[in-house]
Amino acid sequence: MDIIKIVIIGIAGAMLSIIIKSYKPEFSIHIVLSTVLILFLLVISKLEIILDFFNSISAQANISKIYFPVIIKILGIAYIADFTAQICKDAGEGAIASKVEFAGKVIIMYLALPVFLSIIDLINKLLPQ
Amino acid sequence: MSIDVDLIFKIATIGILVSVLNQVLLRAGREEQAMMTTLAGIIVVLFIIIQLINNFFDTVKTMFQL
Repeated sequence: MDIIKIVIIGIAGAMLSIIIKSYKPEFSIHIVLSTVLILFLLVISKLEIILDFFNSISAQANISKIYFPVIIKILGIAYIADFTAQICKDAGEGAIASKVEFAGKVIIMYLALPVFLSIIDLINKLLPQ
Repeated sequence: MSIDVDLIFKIATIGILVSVLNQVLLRAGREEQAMMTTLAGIIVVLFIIIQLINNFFDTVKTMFQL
């Protein structure tokens, strides 16, 4: 089963990074990074199928055709920002981690603006003038 | 680059090898060579990591349409 393989890789990576940390602290971050990347690349095929499923569903509903790509983009940005922030925290760089998270929030907000505008327009239309 | 799991163990072996070589060279009194081997080890590991990160970012870019 896939999950068992993933769990084993995660534990092996954690143990290796502890062993290496005692000899050479600089190498432990490399091991953590490679473990995380391999785990993600293992899971990506399943994520692809999920996203294709959502794409096919949103293709039918004509409203979400405009907003669905925004949701997918925001999902990607949130994931990458969180991924980098976690790696920076592991490496002990709290400041960089918080800045990356802040940048991620700002970019997500930036992408979400059109959606807010369209909602406000919709509300204005509904209100009786 | 394929997603091969033994990458983690490759990096771990390089790390241990470098630290052992470092100790040996330090005992032999050659600090510069010790420094060189550490740098060489880090550069080799960086090559591997950069390929992996490149593969990761390409996948994420195509998938999330970023």
